[in-house]
Amino acid sequence: MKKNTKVMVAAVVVLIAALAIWFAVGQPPDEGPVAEDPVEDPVAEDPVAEDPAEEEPVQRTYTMFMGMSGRDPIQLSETRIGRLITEKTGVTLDIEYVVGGDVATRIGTMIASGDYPDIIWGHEHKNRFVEAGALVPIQDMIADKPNIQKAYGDILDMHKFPDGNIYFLAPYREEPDLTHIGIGFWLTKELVRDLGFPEITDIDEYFDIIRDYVARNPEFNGAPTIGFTFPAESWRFFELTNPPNFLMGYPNDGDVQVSRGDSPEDFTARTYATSDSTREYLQRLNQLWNEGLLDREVFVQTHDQWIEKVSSGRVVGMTAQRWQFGFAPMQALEDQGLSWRRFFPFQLLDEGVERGQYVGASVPVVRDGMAISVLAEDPEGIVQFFEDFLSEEVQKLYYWGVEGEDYNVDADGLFYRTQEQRDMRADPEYGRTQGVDWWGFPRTILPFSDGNKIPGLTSSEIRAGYDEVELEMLEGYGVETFAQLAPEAIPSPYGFGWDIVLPEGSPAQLAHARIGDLRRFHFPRMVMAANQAEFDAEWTAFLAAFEESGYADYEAHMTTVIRERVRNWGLLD
Amino acid sequence: MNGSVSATINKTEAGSLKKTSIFKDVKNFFKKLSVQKALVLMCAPFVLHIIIFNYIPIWGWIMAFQEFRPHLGIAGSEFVGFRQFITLFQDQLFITVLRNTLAMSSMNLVFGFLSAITLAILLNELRNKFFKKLVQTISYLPYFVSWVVVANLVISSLSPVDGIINRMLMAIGILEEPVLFMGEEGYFWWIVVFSNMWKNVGWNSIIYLSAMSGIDPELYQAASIDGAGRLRRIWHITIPGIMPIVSILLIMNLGWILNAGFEQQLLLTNPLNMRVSEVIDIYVLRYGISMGRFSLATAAGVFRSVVSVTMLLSANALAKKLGSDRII
Amino acid sequence: MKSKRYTFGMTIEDRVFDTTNLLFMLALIVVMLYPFANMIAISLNESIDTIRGGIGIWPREFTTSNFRSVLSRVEIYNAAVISVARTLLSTFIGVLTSLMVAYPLSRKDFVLKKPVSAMFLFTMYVSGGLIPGYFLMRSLGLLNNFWVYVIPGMTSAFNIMITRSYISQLPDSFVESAKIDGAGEFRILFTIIFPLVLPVLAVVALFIAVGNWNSWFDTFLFAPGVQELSTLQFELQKVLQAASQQISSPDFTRAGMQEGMADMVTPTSIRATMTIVATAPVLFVYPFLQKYFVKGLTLGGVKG
Repeated sequence: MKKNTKVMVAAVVVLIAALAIWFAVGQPPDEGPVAEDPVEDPVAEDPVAEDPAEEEPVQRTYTMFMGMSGRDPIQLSETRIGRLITEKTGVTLDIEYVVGGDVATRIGTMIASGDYPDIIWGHEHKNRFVEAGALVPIQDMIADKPNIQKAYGDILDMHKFPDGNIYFLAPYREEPDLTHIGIGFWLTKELVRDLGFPEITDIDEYFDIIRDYVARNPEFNGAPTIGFTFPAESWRFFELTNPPNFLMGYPNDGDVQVSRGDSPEDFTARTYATSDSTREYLQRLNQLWNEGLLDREVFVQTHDQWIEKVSSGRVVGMTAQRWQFGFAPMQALEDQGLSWRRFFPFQLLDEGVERGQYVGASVPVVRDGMAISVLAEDPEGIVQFFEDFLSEEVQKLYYWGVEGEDYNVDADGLFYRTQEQRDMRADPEYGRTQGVDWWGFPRTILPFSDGNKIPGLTSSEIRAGYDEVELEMLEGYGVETFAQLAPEAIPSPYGFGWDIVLPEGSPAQLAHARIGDLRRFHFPRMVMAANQAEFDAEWTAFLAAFEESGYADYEAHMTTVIRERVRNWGLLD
Repeated sequence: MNGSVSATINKTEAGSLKKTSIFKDVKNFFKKLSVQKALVLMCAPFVLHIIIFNYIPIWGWIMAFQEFRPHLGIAGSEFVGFRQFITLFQDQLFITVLRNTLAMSSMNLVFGFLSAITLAILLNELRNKFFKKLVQTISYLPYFVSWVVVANLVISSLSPVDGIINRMLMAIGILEEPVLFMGEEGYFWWIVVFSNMWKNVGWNSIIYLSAMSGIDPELYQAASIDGAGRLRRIWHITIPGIMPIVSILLIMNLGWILNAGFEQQLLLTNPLNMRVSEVIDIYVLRYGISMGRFSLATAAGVFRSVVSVTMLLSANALAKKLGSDRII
Repeated sequence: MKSKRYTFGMTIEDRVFDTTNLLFMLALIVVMLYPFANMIAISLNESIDTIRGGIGIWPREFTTSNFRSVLSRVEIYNAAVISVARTLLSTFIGVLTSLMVAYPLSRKDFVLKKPVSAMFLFTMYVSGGLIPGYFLMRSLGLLNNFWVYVIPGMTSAFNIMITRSYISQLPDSFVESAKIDGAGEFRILFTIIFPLVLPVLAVVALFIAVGNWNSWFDTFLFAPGVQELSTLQFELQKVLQAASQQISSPDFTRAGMQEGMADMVTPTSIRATMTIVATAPVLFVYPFLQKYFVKGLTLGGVKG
């Protein structure tokens, strides 16, 4: 026995020694964070044209940091389209994602140490990078680039920071979702059909419909029917706090409502958490709670558990943004043959409100984008990459894919997809491994020179995406696409309020956090109040605490930023 | 008279004696050191290691006394004295969070220790080797299940609609109506303690089992010959046999009194229990790091370290008084 | 002698105790095992079906697609090698360290006993924070370097303390008689102490090994962009993140069930699969260590 032990120990030691040596020798010496190998390729003789395919592009690699959490950590080189893009532009990207840990922590160490990669995608932290002086202004470099000017020329002002510089190009353009309405108060399609495709805008009518249905159908598939629910786990809590805002007819500006006017000074932001509409909405929920119609676990369950409920077909009504339940639960319902238990949204409004702004105007989101860091050795090359990326050829590749594989061209030269190609595209695994339309690179929404548009704006594609249930719904309402059921969005001269970043450690940020905590604490208790006295007491307590929260700082900051945007973006007319 | 004279003489002698004895002590010290140089050599490299990796970074504590901005660095950031600490202690939320942390920590300590030791003892008493091995392996499986999964499990078993706990309690008549356990502040700390126990008891018992395997089997034989029954043998042999390690672990854990966990509470927290569920680490993340207030986060860390070391030294002194194994 | 129990006969107390113990253990097995069995079932169940809830310990719609999805990423294999390497290295070094520091500290006559003990102890409660730590690794050249997994974690005060406690309990006679025989400290440590403290060393080895196997935070902080240095857990986190993004992606605006759909993997399924993938190796290695510290399973005689 002892001998065996010795042998075993010896073997392990040898193995370890071998590994140690392998690693000591085999590992590259400490690499600096900026790893770039500009390899010069011989340039072809043809003159430079707009399409990069005319000349041999310079092969180069840039390091990039993706500062958004929860992103699929995939590299350009791992996907088919990604490799084609590399071929066309000569650029390989070495992207670092935030995996597992907290973004703020990672950015903290990055900024403190000053170890920046070539390209930075700062997301909501971009201000910190600007403040740290980590980014390179690009307005001069893009001035003579035709593709960029064509694609972004009209909105360049929107990109300007208070210091007058432009640091990145917005990856999200005005691309309204024409296929579906992404938000509202939902009812099962089945119920909507049985009611004869009504148009509902009154919230009491909505809840009465639910009451009525549950009274007649207390159970579904052997389990109790859930009248009304909404996601509420941690950061999703806004699904409880936003509806009053929409009911009042305002768009999603975060936690404020913005009054508008003819000049920038007319724009003022006010919080609505203490409004009557909020109280009344909570009152209605409280009523539902006491009638047993509200999901009893709504405030304690995890999001996974909420999804389970939604996938079971037992839920009659809910309020949520579409991406909260997204794709998988709908798929599960279909798998169970419950396609009609999927959902259809209504934009409800308070009495006296004429027009809802649930679906906000689609504006370029200037909160994100690829910025060039001060440590990049080849900023011109990166700008050239943006330029090449915006060429028609690459854009077609990016949005549609490869002709013949991902889409076809018909006799008139218009792009279309066969059902098979659409199905392929719809498979998330396909999207992931093929890399079609997957990243937030600079992009254009302008129609291509041959008249084709991006798929999201091509009506043939949209219609083709609907299934029979949805087509029946559309017929019932007499429209071609679901988007037509929502009122046209009112354009906004300041974009959205919800993407305004609050400065680090500022009174505004602190106040906002406090307000959030107060609502998290008081609102559920109000909804779950056993009687009116309890409800009122809780509301009074909330109001009192709200006074102390410093909300004025928050409102002031939002107002300032909004007015600046209105002034600088020049969209007011 | 005589006494005082001799006392004076003794004093002077004592004075000079003291001087020489200090000198002698130092000399003795170095003499001993050279005799024991092998021992010193054994641990010296590692002392150097912890100086480099653990003690040098303490320069970062200066951030707690600044208004640190990452791009200005330590040198460029403004010095603000104790302001961050004052901010912390004036924040009612921090005080609440402190209370929560202490409560959960102490409860975890007590139940954790009792359960792990009990499990170890019971495992130790199993006769069948195979069964013992099997149960022991199964008992630590929960340690490997992530908190995300465990939290989900806990929340769904406590569900008022179809959770197993409610169903069981109603079936045996303790409850008439289902209780929303996760929504009641009074239950939260118990939920934390029990889920912790479930997750960790198997893993924590390993160290005690290891200690028990070092107990001389002849002691048990002698005891049973003397007529001691199972329980008495456990009480008089097994338990004293592991007392040293229990004592050490207890002292170390008391030092961690302000670390009540993070992921667990983050996942189990909801608007209804948030007043009792948030712990220091959550506060530091939300109000410190996520808001870019690194100085505040550091100040909380400094505070925690100071309390920890104090607790450690106190526990150690207490152990000394009680005659139990000390750690220093 | 060892395999026989040490009584002459079974008393009633014995029987009662044993039976109760047995029942308790059976209950324990169920409570501990059920969630794990549930994990296995989920990992073998079709993703979309799982989100409906209600899976017990048996998969409803069997599939291997979850495992395929998790293990199909090529990066996982290099990451696994890195994880194995760091685990082996760290364990070996860590056990050695514990021994070499614990032994002097266990000697009552060691002049530096108190100060050194205190120095090591305080490291468990006192930390400079993430940013100074990052700077330190940077200046030592340990960023984006394999050795950041091994070198900083070499000393664990916790492991040292429990080892020290164990050594302290050994009778002094061992060391004394060895000294009389003229043995040097190093020899005493490795030839006498080492074999006697195998149980605690096995536990220390287990702690270090599992800690290394499960870690990803150091990768996140110190080597996030270097694919070659990714660890198994880090790769699994990536898989989880990919799935989380997919499930909420609004890009997929279409309807109609196709074959490919069934293979889509949700975060719930990924987590279950991850648990299995990460735990299975531990279950294989564990019995080897177990026999060192569970009484009655020790191999060979230790005394004399």
